[in-house]
Amino acid sequence: MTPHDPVIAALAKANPIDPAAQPGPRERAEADAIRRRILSASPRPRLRATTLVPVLSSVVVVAVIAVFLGVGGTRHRPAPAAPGPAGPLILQALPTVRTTTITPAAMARELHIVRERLGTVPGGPHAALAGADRIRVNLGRDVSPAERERIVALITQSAQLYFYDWEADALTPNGRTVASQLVVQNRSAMAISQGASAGPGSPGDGSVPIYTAVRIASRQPVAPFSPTQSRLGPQYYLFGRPGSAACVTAAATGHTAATVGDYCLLSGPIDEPNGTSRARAIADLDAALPAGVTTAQAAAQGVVLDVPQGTVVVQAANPGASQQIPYDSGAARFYVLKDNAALTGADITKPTESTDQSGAPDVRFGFTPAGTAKFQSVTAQVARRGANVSLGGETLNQHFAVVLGGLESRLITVPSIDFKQYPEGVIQSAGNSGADITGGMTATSAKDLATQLRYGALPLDLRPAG
Amino acid sequence: MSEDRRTQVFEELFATHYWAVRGFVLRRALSSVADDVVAETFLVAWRRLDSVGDDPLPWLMGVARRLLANQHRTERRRGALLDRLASLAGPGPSWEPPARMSSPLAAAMMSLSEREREALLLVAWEGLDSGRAAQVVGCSPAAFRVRLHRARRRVADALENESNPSPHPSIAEEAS
Repeated sequence: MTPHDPVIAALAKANPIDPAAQPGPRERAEADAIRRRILSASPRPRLRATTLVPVLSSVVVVAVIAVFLGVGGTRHRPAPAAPGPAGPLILQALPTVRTTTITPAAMARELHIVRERLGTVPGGPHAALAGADRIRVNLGRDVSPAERERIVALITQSAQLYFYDWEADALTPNGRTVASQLVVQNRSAMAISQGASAGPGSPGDGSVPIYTAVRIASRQPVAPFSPTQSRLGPQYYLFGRPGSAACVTAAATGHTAATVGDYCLLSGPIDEPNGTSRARAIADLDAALPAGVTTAQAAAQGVVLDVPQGTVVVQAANPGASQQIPYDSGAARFYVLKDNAALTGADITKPTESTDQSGAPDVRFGFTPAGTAKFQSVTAQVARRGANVSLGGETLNQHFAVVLGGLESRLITVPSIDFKQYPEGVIQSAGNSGADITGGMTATSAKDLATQLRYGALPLDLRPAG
Repeated sequence: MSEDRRTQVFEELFATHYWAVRGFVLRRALSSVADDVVAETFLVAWRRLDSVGDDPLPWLMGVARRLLANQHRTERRRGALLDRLASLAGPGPSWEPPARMSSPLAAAMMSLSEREREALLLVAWEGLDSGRAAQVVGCSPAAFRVRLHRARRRVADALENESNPSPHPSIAEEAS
């Protein structure tokens, strides 16, 4: 995005403070006074706040400077002990690819889910419809801007959870499913199915760099719409050729980690609705290029690939809680799946953050009646395949995969189903209801995931209205 | 770092970035508040000179941004009664477009979330690239680029709709 972009140019024209304006004598004198006052201050804070988070340490500094400057202007005083009510939060509902029309029924369901989610927020916030396509939330108390932002995120994040039959849906570089090549013990299929030292779904054997994954995915046929798909329409990526100036520039500005000898991700992924022209998609990719990479460079040194509807590229699971690998890191590795989810976030209930028996953070949830049946069905299918491919005394347990959907989909975990213990799949009962998912989570990321799962079933997108 | 060297580094930092930081704050706060926030920002820099880094401007703007948020919170607490009255009157705008901004552009900007609006303004008004703007708001460059792209596209679509309004659907079309 450049200053020549019409939106940026129009905004720049409306800049209330001209960046090129020269300061007058009064402003210069004020600046000089500020500089002298600061240089006369102790270079050490008066309160030790090294263990506080930055925002809190700023509060401390605000309090200190208000005393020592001793000049006119705003003074910072302690907040009143009794918090007052906050202004209401207005949320605008927007259609999604799945719920294309905002109907009263969709809004009623949306409101119900928003109220459920707000149940975790202290202070008794209340949500109500405010017109045909808006929801008004009264928080009922004063909240800081940061907490308000967190509450908005809590309500509006729309990431979904998807369960896949791992071996039936994962593709090897030849574009065929892992399950179809296990009997002949294809090397790639075996690596994806059984993993190496780090287990299936990890950034180890069987996973590939993002360009390779997208290239494999781009060769898959377009699948017709199905409710089991995690996304609709094509997904576009723009890569720079290995060693190109575009890749060097992107790496130099810290936007995309350079991978020696491999294509670098310059822009994307971007989801486009079905029917979008390739030219429009490329224009959208160009609009999100890293600083310093021109559209001319991207055109000359770039490769645009699209993943058709029916196939997804997912990042490998984080190897551990302390090893979070960013999506655009050169170290990130990926898998390609047929987008044929056995369960979605709509099939699970009451996700909560918890800890497993070893004390590691995890997320627990239950299943809806439909989800219970689907979960048993997919785990039974996985178990039967495990029994079928385990020949000659060799046990090849099979797996299902849990994926956090969204623009940058990521594997959460790829658990195995012991076909000897669960030959009929995992059957839910009163004493065995729901499931736990673990996999490289911190307490915070487990809480975030539980939150995101709770919002997975929102029929409409929500975002704050001005 | 010796005291002389420390002073020299701060003087250079102040001379290079004071006006940019002042402009950043003035675009987001009343002038009666802005001078205090700018002074506080550079006081933080003076006391944390070792952590400023090689590219001070995004760091300074990030500090100023947090101070403005604290300022806003303090003012809001002080004006609890006003808040209560305002909440009875309905939601008010959380951002005031400048007078010189055209009505369609202002309306489009008002329809954005705070994060989206902030992303556009950091690029358009402060002249930051995505990497430096991401440092200001504390997110990854990739996340910022996506946020910026979506914001820009929403504004562009809103402006396009403004200049080419779609015809009102007929009753027959609505019924179908």
